[in-house]
Amino acid sequence: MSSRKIVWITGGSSGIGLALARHYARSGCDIVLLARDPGKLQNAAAECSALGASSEQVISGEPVDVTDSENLPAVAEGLIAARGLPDLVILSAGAAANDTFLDTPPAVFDDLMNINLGGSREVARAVLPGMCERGSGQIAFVCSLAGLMGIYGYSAYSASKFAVTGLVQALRQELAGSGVDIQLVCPPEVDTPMVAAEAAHAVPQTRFLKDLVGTMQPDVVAGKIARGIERRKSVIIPGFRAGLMAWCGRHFPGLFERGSALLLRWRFK
Amino acid sequence: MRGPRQPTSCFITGGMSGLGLGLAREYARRGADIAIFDLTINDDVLRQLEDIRLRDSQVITAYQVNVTDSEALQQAVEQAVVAISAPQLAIHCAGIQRAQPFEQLPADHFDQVIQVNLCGSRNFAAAVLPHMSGGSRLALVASMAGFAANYSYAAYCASKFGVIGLGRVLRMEYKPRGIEVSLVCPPEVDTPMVIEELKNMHPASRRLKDLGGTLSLEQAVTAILAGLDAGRGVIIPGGKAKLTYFCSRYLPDAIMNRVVDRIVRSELAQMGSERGAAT
Repeated sequence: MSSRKIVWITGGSSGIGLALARHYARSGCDIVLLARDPGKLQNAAAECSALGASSEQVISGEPVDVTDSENLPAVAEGLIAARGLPDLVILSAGAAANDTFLDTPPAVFDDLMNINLGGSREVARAVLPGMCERGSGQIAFVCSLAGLMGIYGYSAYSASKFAVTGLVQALRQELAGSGVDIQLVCPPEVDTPMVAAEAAHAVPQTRFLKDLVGTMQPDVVAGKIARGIERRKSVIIPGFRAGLMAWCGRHFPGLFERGSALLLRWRFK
Repeated sequence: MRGPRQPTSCFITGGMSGLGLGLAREYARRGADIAIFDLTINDDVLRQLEDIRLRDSQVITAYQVNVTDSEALQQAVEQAVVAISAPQLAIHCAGIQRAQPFEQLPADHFDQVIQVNLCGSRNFAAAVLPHMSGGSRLALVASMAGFAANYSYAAYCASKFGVIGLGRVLRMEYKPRGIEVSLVCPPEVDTPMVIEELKNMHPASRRLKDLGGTLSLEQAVTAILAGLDAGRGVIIPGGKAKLTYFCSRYLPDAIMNRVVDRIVRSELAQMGSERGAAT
């Protein structure tokens, strides 16, 4: 095996995943992008290869659905056998739904659980035994600011992302001292296809609250996330305003909730 | 006082045992009509509830339903609304636990915990909220594991963190309509669920859970009732649990993590040496 770092990125064909893939391509890593759409994967892999620091870098896409628990273990095993055990796995595949609670069908709730929580969990499960045996590795769960605080119109999304936060906290305890680092990444809104798709029918209250934190560009966010990953931070919150919001929400949850309620009442009276 | 008036109708999932039953008893004593939603209905329990009710006119009724079945739950809630009235207090207590270190935890156990604890909370909230009016309250029973992780609790923590996330969003969405949401985060309480879990609890979980303390069912129910009476948004029964909540918010992660990791490591080392001595 080469000495180049091996990075896997789920949801790597678009959004934050793709931005991170570009970043790691430029830093000379071997990359496996995992996503559902073979066409988008091919384009993403080609884009990253063009950015590659050296011609020896291996950058490829692997079409897989992270929620396909029957196929996923075999795909992961095959990848490990062919390309080596990854040094860093970034779990960036995710979906969102923006609607008020009663307008969010149970099926949407279940879908978000399966993709955001179940998908990340299954990929982590596929690489963990190897990483633990080797005694090194990093798994970064791309969660969301909505995984630390509730946001109007995001009942299903926040529930799934809070659940990811809980899973990560429990995993971190279990893997302390194993050499494998578990990291939680909580970005604010990022200008990605997922967010663009949502914008068409966004709940106004959600829009208002998210505008308080602002929207970040994928490459900026990717740079900040990569720095946090490199520093092995256990929680990575990219952006000053997002960090401030998370800090307030954690230290003064009551005040924070009353404040948001007041703002919403003032704006949507 | 900011709190709600005494509820005259109370809907409770998981009300046939544990915390749910404890709360059902108290509200029956206080004179509320009670509707219980649970997997199995025990007629003796229902009779006991009828015996302790304040007035003979009080309705005590139960529906056999699985909270993971959103449609069935919705229908059961509609029947209860017809039989009693819309709930002034709706409490989601139904929950399960499957504790095992992550790599040994089967995916279907994980999914089951998420289904009951988290999707069950969603289903119940979706079933009761359309009937509820201003001044009423939805209480979701999460757990201390909803804000502080515990060893071998990957699925349970994920589900209970999720309940907190769901509850926080619901609070934001329903506050303008005057419907309040309470999140209840008890530490270990001696309920049938925990007694089952104690049969083979991981020593590291045990040590960490001791930090949050253990409450008797009566203590927990008294504290939860007091929290609901006072109209609190987050209800944490027990002093040690409150301290843990405080620490998890105000202590830097690095310090909390170091304390927890040291405890886990010492328990694992002890397990290792015991296993070594046994072989």
